[in-house]
Amino acid sequence: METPTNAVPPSILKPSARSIATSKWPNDPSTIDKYNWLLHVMYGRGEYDRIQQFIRVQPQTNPYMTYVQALVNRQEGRIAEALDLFQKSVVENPTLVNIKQVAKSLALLGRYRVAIDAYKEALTRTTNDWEVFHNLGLCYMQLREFNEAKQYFLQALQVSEIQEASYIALGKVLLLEGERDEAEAIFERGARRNPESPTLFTHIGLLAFERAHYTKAFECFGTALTFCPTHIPAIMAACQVIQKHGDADVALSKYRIIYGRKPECAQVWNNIGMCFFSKKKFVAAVSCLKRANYLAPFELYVLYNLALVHLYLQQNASAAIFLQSAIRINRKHAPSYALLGVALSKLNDSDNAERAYAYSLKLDSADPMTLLNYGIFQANTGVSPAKINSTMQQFHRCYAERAAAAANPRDIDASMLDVATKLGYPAPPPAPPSDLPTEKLSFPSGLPPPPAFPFSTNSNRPADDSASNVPPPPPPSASSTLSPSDSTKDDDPTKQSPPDEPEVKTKIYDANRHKLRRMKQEPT
Amino acid sequence: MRSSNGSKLMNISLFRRRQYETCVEVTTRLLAKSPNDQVAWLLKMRALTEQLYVDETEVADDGLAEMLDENAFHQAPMPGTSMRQPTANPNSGINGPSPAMRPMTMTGRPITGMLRLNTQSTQGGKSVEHVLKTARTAATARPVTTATGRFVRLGTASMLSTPDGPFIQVGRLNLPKYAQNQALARSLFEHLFHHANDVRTAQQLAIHANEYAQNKDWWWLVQIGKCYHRLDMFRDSEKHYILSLEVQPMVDTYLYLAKIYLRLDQPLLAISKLREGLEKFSHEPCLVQAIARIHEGLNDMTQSIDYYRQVLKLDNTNIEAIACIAANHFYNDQPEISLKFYRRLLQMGVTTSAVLCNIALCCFHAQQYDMIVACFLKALAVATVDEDRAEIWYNIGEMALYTSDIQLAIQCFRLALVYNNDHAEAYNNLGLVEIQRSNHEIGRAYLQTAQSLAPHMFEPYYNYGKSMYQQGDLQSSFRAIKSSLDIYKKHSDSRHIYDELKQMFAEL
Repeated sequence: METPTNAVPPSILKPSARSIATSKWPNDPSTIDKYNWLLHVMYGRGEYDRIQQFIRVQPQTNPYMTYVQALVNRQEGRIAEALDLFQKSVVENPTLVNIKQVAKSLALLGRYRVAIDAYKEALTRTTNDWEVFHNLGLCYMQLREFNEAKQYFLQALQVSEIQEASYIALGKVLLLEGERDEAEAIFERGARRNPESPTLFTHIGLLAFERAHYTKAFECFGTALTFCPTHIPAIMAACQVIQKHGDADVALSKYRIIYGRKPECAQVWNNIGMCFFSKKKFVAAVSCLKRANYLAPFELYVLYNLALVHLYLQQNASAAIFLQSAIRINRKHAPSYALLGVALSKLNDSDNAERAYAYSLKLDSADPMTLLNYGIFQANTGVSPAKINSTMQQFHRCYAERAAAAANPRDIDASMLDVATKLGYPAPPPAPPSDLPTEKLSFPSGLPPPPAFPFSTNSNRPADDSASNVPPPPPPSASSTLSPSDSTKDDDPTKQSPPDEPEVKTKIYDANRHKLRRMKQEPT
Repeated sequence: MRSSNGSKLMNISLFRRRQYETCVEVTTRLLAKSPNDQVAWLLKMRALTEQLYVDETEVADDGLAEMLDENAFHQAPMPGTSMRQPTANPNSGINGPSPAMRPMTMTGRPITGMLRLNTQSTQGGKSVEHVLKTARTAATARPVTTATGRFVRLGTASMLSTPDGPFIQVGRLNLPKYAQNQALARSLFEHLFHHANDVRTAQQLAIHANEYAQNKDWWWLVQIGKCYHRLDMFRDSEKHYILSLEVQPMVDTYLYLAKIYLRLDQPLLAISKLREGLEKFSHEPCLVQAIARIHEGLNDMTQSIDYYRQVLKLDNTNIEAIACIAANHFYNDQPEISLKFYRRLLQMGVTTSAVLCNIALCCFHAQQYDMIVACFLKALAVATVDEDRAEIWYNIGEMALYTSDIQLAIQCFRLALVYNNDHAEAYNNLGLVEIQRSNHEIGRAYLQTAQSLAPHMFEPYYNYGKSMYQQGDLQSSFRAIKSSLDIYKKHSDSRHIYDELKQMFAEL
């Protein structure tokens, strides 16, 4: 209703002269409502100060003035005052519009229960107002009563099929309840009705990304970016896909765009760091990840990635410390424990390494990479072959499951099998190739087999755990070794970083507290 | 006679060895014996002066009163040409480090590597209103007047030293007579200026002497300039300094002149004068250092660091330059390099708690974990003031945060608050930690305390706004976020929330 109307010639937009004009008949409705058009125009143009001034000099107020004044107050962030004024207008004139505004103000103040009552009151006056249903849904969503919320959103969508906001909100509720399929269906439906909505397409893309349908995800992000080339979540997500494909340079150039807009975003720095890592620029990688950590010390994945990079750089103690921090943040994060096992075994603390592996497997017993690393660790510490055998059996089982589940062969890292073979436990299930071992495992007999170098990726779902297990780089002190095969896996693909949850609202509280470290200064 | 000569020589030796107090005692005795002994009188005068001598080039506390003065050349200067205007504020500058990466001082400048006059307390350049609003903490942002404690102390010092009245009765001096005796006049002037703190009489003496020297003596011209400077008559002061430079260029004079221009808020002119000085004295670290400081004040960190590096080339033990370069490296994510510089400071014998604390911080960020605890312990042992201890505990807490050891972090921040109850950063972090542990009410209370203690930091506002936003109280959130954006205009996260709120408010 307050769309700017520019059709009015500018000459009559000067309220100063007229505003004071008092009429001879003060109660004549035509004079009271005479300047409503002017208020409307001024509100549309955002001239809030002038509106306030104008209303102040009026001899008497009319309902529309109160209404506009309330709107202005809300625009300027004084919601409580706006609420008062709206309530006043409800008392004067209990129309649907006014009741809705009261309800909305209450919702904005965070008083959802009261807001719901007000909206229900509004529902007694109308039954087909999309906004009422939608806002009711939002209120219930905030109160975490998802069933009610879903109901109202569905009603809202029945009333009006095209509202992007309702689709998004409904999808989010479903996601919060963990029903990905339904959420995806809702998003798809929304996208059909709103073919130009970057947000919806980003959501669809993210869901596809989570299920490792990368082509589809990329298409969706592409669509989103066509309609809004600067939609940050879409760019982030698209970068993610690019990174997953191992095209770090392209991803970096995209991240530059995001950096320009969000220089303090820890996720961006984290992803940039991992790009550099996959390009083997370790100093840059560490420094980017450090900055991410500086900006968001409570982000699990930043710490995890830091540990990964440091492990790769053979700085095992640092890696162990970063992992400890990561574990303190989330005590149920299995990959961290697994990595801690690797770090500890490199630090020659085999007891604790054993414990770390065991705990990690207790938390998540189906992660092939953990199992593989555990097997290698057992081989290194000279555990009885039977135990190693059982570990490796389990590894092959999990690996097979994972491989079967993965739609895309890129998702699962075949190099793990190579390592397993080298370890002396080639993949048994299909046809136990009993006699391969003769291909001498690259370890000279005397030396213990080199520890594996796990590169896990860490996206937060196990699904894309495509670890590229770089086969053993030089064993700690073995003079001989060679890099028999270590080179191959250079492309530690996709160290995915925390899938930058683009919805910033759900982002954990990464605020800036830390930036306040102040270096102390020294007085002369 | 001989003994008197001997004691005079001894006296001079005492003076040379900077044992001023004994020197004053001996000369007092001599003067009691023979009141007209000019040598003893001169010696005593100089000894008294030396006790209180300060380097005028380093002195300039801008007080609150200066905010009201109209000496600034432009009221609305171009960006980057003024220290006063918010335009020189990092939010709009390209070169300045982002406040998210490098903390700010109370007056909205990136924190410097070294605490010196005019870094903490000055020019910050906001409006008077803003200055008055700045929180009253134990270490307040700005002294209320220029007549700082030091000058007052100087004034009374003359009374204290001799119980029976001041050494020289200023009112009874025959200034024109003394002005003609060059040997005495200079010492007398310094005595009046530094010890008696009687600027007006000192100025009269200088004017008489200058008349006698017919504007040919640069020293007297500079002294007149200094007097005008002290009396806040900057244009007159500038005139005399320039005259003096024509007679004889001196390093000090350039520094004084630069100071005047800074007070007139023309930093670029000050830099150009200093450059002029550098042409004549091309290896003078003081001039380069002054340029570096001005660039720092303008938030032009790259230039500033360049100049500090030049200083180090000329004088490789310059503490300020080392500290500033180290701090800059630290905030540019190069803790290893920063560590080298701090180690250098330590090797030079600067073992203050701040240096040790900084070394510990650098060690942490460079992952040299074995050193951290030792350095912090040492820093705590060396710390003498409670503020220092508070800072050290705060930084330890920060380390604990980065290793996500929440309990330790909370304890450290509490300790920091014990030592310095106005530590806004500690309040802010405590608030965040509490919110992290989902004690929202307590956390918000801490954040609000931080807001009131440090209106120059955007973090408490942003954190509060975000917390409120998550809770759904959009009105409070909106207010807090707006304040955060006022302080740091380009903060993208604040901007994001702000935009979302705006949109929600605008929807019908």
